[in-house]
Order: sequence, then structure tokens, then C-alpha cells
Amino acid sequence: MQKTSFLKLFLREKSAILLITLIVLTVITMVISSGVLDGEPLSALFTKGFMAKGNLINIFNNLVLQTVMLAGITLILIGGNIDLSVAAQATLGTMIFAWILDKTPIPWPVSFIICLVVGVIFGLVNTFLVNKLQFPSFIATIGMASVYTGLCNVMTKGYNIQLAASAFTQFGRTNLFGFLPLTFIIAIAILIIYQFVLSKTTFGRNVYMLGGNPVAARLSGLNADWIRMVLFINNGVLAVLSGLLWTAQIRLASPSAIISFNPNLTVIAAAILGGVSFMGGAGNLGGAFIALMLLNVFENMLTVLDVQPYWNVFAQGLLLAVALMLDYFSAERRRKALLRIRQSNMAKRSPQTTEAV
Amino acid sequence: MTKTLEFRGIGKSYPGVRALDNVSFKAEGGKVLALLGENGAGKSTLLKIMSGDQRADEGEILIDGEPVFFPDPQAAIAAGISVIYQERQLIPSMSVMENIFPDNLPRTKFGLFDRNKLYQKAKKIIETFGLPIDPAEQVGRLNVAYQQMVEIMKAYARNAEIIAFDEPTAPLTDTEIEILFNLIRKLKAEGKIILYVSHRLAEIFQITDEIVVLKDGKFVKSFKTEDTNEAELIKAMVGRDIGDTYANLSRNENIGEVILEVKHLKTPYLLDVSFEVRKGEIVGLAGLVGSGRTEVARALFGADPVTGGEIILEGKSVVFKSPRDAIEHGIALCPEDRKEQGLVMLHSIRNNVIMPFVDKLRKKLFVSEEKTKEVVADAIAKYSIKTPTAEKVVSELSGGNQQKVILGRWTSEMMKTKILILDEPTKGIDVGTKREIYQTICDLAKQGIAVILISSELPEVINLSDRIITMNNGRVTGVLAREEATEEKVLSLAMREVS
Repeated sequence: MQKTSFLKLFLREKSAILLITLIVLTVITMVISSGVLDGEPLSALFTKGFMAKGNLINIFNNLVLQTVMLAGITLILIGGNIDLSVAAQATLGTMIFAWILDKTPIPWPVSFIICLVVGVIFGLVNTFLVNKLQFPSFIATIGMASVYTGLCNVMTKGYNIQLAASAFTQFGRTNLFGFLPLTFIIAIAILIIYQFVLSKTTFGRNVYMLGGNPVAARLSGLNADWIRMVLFINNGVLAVLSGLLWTAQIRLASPSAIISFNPNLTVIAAAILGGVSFMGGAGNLGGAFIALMLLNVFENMLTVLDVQPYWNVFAQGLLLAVALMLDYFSAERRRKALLRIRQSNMAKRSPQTTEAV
Repeated sequence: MTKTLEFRGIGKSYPGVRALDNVSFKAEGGKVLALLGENGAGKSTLLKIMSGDQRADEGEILIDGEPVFFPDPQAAIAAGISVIYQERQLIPSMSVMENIFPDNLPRTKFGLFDRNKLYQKAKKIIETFGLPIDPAEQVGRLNVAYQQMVEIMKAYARNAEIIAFDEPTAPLTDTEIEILFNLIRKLKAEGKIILYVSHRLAEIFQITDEIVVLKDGKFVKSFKTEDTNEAELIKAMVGRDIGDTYANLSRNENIGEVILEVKHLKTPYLLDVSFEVRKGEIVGLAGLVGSGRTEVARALFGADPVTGGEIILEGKSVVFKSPRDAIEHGIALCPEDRKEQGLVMLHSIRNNVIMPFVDKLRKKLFVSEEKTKEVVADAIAKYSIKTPTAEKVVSELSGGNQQKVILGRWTSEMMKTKILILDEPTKGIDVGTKREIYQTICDLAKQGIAVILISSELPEVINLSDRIITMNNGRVTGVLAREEATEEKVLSLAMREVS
């Protein structure tokens, strides 16, 4: 029992460190950006700079696309696969959506549903490549990412499609209390639902099993192919949905905009940083989301502090590298501590309980 | 009516290999049937077919006289078959209870995962078996024996009527084997059909009722366990009478001066280890799994950090920071896990032999082709490795030949190996080749190489070694000369508590 609680403590600690970093970073940004240090009144902390409504809306809006993607990709990762075609799927989904609205009289809700079905097809394609042709998901999804991106360019010869005003675009710009976008609330709801699925349903537990040991899962009678299929389809649908929410926000479908800020890798990095195992079988959405917020707040901090935007990518990469290094060192420390415990235990242990390594 | 499981004319081919050929036999409920055969005899393939992992090309399986067909593992499980493989089929990051019911997690009335009910169900099964395991414990944190118990409980939980064990005792200590056997007896008493695959003849006599011998994918003969003996079984397995494996080995008679001295060695895995090895001497390290045998090898080879004590090589105190360091000082290790640690499986014999000394084969900028050919041909000839060419990929070789490739590497003239550490050198190698390896080891000793032999097979350690060092719990517990060593003595020393 003692061992179990030790592990739980550690897991908590990891998310806790991220959360503390997030809060510290936020506070620092608030203080500096509000100008309190330059003689502004204290109330400016909550009205200017970082906490200004415009900036908050900005952060939340930026998080929507990534959060919805995160829900899909985290499940894929826990199940022992990876999907590098998410951003391309999202892009193609939005292009089809906008194209239908632009060229046909079909109303937007129908187009919306058509695009979600397209997401299902994206998932089926990946499933086919991974389950039937036995491609590693890394290779299969890189390949499909190029195919989808290429299709987007073919569709409009590289041009953007502007969306005419409708209830859909209206919805994308609605903010509750003046700073909380509706789209963000939807993203959070999705996150909560999927965390619930992961921890509270038998399907969720099976996803962990599949990722933890795919061979064992198959030989234990789990339908590994089926689980993978559900995960990929789910991921395809969420990818398209993330793109559609983004389109609602900016009233535009572009063959290159989403890919240009590389949400696919940001989201995977956040998941890993938040404790999701790259090898599968471990992690949860809570930690992943905290890490995602951390990356976003950091980026926003650079903006409100007027750091030249050219430094953004570099600084983000640096943050990620430092975070992963810290992670490595704490794992190393733990390993050494375990060795010490092991040695002192060994002195006491009787041969009957000697453990094989 | 007793349950039956019948194989009728089962055949299976892989590219280039006829793995199973017209195998027919029948197993009955309430009995333990042993599947015996050398490596490559087809035992594992048969298990894979009955578990639905692979499909037979010909023949059929009948349960209670009815033909059954398994397109996938789920179908086999539904038919009441559970195969417990050598490689643990568990999910280490998950709890014991989830591992017992992986495909059958209970749900609440709202269709959600019911953790409490799962805990109770698992607890009940664990209690039936009388094991001290917490259902919520992570499987990866259990020791190997208990992990195996979890597998058995998993089979039991799905009411499997047919349970097959593939080399179940390989990672277990004697006490743990006894626990396992009690479980098997319990399953047998419940009338289940049990197939038991093992290399260890002693166990087969202990636990089984019938024995089916396979050779080269063909059914050879079946025996009633009580009516047969070891010699008869070995004869059926190898198709010839090999006599005493250890008789007539030509041993090294002149043992030289001390070459290696280990004084109070301490690492994160060892508490206090002292011994010495002489030139041309074979020193056996005996101990139960987890006693620290392998860890001694790792420390000597620079793979684990030394935290105390001293290693004295040819009179000089040495500290090895890495395996490379140790190799340069003339120490070589043939690791226990050939496939993972000993060889690059996808590469040729040639590349595997020259791996540690490619640098020495260099002629100006490039590797000298002639010298390489000479060295590799030498290794192949010295150990009579069965291969048409040095370019053959080692994964296509048999276990025995793979081991010879490793030996050829370390004993090449390029290496100047003085101390050779062999960790389980005959693990998974068939009886015929074993004897060849034994003679090779003796020949190496004759050339003045000091050999440290680690093995779980007591007869092997006792018959080959000039001296036997027993270990327990990271400590040396005794030293025996060959003349005085018996299995009983070695075992009692290996279980002795020293502090």
C-alpha cells in the first residue's frame, strides 16, 4: 500500500509543479504588463495588459483549437499511437465546410455535419493504414498529413475562402461576461467529457491497457483493432471540429493558416509535458491541459511584454526543452532514491521474497 | 464426462520452415499433459495456434469432440482456452484487478466502469488462491512470481477450461515454483485440461500425468509420466541416446595464478561480494534468481557503478567506468539475453563478430576487408557455426549458433580476452548443442582464459566449474570445490542467510 501512495504522491506532484509554474508565470505577466511597477494603480492588475479583456479573449480563443485537438490526441497517445495529421485534417475539414457554404446553397448546419462525417473518414483512413496495412502510426499519419494539405491547396489553388456572416460566425464571436468565448466553453466541456470517458468508462480503461501493452491486450481478448479504430475516428472528428470552431472565430478558411502555427506538435508536446506517456498507457487530460495553458500563457507573455514576435518560436522551444530536462532530472533523482531504498531493503530481505530484476 | 482437447493433423509452415507437420494427440480434463521437445520442435507454434494468435494451415482442433475454429484470440478465449506465455502478457502500468479482468471490466447500472465491484471481484479470486496481493497494486511493482500468479488468476477468472503454460518456471525460484505447482494441482483437481511446456525434465516428473514429445514439428511419442524415465524422454526428444551430457568432457588440468580478485564489492545491487578467479579456471556462480549473480557480471563488466570494495585485475586495482573500459582490460561478457543484449539481430554474423574491435581492423580510413574475412572465418571455423556464409543474418540462426557467434566474437585473436563471463550460456539451447558449448567452455579454459559461469541449471554449474561460489541476497554465502559439490549442498548454501 505504501508503494501505491508514493506513486500517487509523485503523480500529483508533477501536475502540481506545472500548475505552480503556470500561476507564477501568470502573476509575473500580470504585474509587468499592467504597468503597476511604473506607477499605475493596483486595480490596473485586473484591467490592463494581461488581464485586459481583449487579451483574455485572445488567449481563450487561441486555446480553443488546441484544446479540442488535445482531447483527441491525448487519447491516441495513451492508446499507444500518434497522429501527426491532425492539423491537416482540421484544415481540410474547414476548407470543405467553407467551400460548401461558398459554392452551394446548403445551409451551414448541414455542411457542419457533412464535415464531421468527413472527420470520420479521416479516422477510417488512418485506421486502415495502421490496422490493415500495419504501418506505424507515425509514418501513416505523416503521409496522410501531406495528402490532406495538398488537397487543400488543390481545392482553392491556395486562396482563402471568406465566410459570409451567419449564425455560425456570430456564435464564434460571442463572449460570455465579455471575456469568455462560447467556443472556449465548448472546448472545456469536450475536455471534461473525454477525461470522464478515460477514467470512468470501461472503454477508457481498455485504452490504457492497449497502450500499456498492445500484445498483451490482444491476447487477453481485447479487440485492439476496434479500440484503435474508435480512437482514430474520434480523433478525426475532433480534429475537424477544432478546425470548424477556429473558422467560426475568424470567419475564414485558409489552406495554410492552421498549419502555419503548428498546433499538432504544440498539442503533442503539451500532452507529453503534462505526463502522458509517449509510449502509451499513462497520463490524463488534466495534466495535458495544464501544460497546454502553460505553453499558451508563455507565448502570450512574450507578446504582451513586447518581445519581438520573431523570438516566439525560439522561446517556446526553449521552454519546452527546459521543462523536459527538469522532468528528466526529477526522474533520475527518483531512480537514484529508489536504488538507495532497494539497497537498504535488500539487507533486510529474506530469500523467499527476493525480487527478480 | 471428462473434457477433451484434441489436435488432429495440425500442420503449419512459415517461410522456409515446416513448424508443425501432422501433429495429432489428445488431452483430457483433470490431467496435466506435458509438451516436450527441443527448441524448434513446434511447441510454441502449437500454443499459438490453440490460442488463436496464429492459424493452422491444415488439421483441426476439437473440444469435447466438436471441431472448433479460432480466427483470433477472442474466439479461443470464448471457447475456454487460456495460454500463459513465457513473456508475461500483463499490462505493467495497470492494477492487478484490471489485469485479471482486462476484457471483462464490470460496469455500473449506468454503463460506467465500476471500480469497487472490480476490486471485490478481484479480491475474491485472490483469496481463492490464498495469495497476499492487493488488487489495487500496480502489476509492474509485483515480483515475477506474483505477476505469473496474476496471469493464472486471469485465466481462472474467465473460467478457462483449458490452460496452457509455456515454460512457466523459467523466471521462478524454487519456493515460487512450489506455489505455482500447488495452483496447477488445484486447477487439475477442478477437472481442467492443462498443457505444460517445459525444458526442465525434473519438473515434468513432478507435475505432469502424460507427456507428448515433439521433434522438428512432428509428433514422436506419448508417455504416461509414471511409466517413463529421463533417459527415455531425452532419447525421444533428440532421437538418439546422448548418455550423460557431462561425461567425458576434456577439462583443463593446469590452473594458473590468480588473475582476478574481487574484494568486498558493493554496487546498488550487491552488498558484499569477494572471490578470486585463476587463469584457466572455471568458476561457477550459483544462486536463486535475484541473488545477485547477474549483477556481479554487470559490475565486473563496468555496466553498474561500483560503490565500494575493489576489483583487482592481474595485481592492479581497476575501476571500469563503462563496458568499453572493461573490454579494453580483457574482460568479456556473454549476456543472459542473447537477443536483446548480446547480438544485433538484424545484422550478419560478420558484423556481430567484429562489433567490439572494428577499430582494430582499420586500414587507414577504412575497415580492412581481408583482415575482417580472416577473423570472421576463423570464428566460424573455431566453433563450427552452421552457416553457408558469414553474411547470414544472425536472427536466422538457431540459439546455439547465436551463442557461438558471441563466443567467436569475444575469443577472437583481436580481443585478447583474459576473463570471460558467461551468463546462462545454454539458456534455450537444445540438449545436443549444449554438450558442444560445454566442451567449448572447457577448451577456452585450456587456453588459459578464466571463465566465470553463471547458470540457473545446477547440474551445469556443478559439473563444469572447478569451484562454485554461492550467492544469496547480494552476498557470497559459500565456496565449494567441484569434488565436494552436490546439488543439495549448493542449494542449501544458496539459501543461507548471511549478514
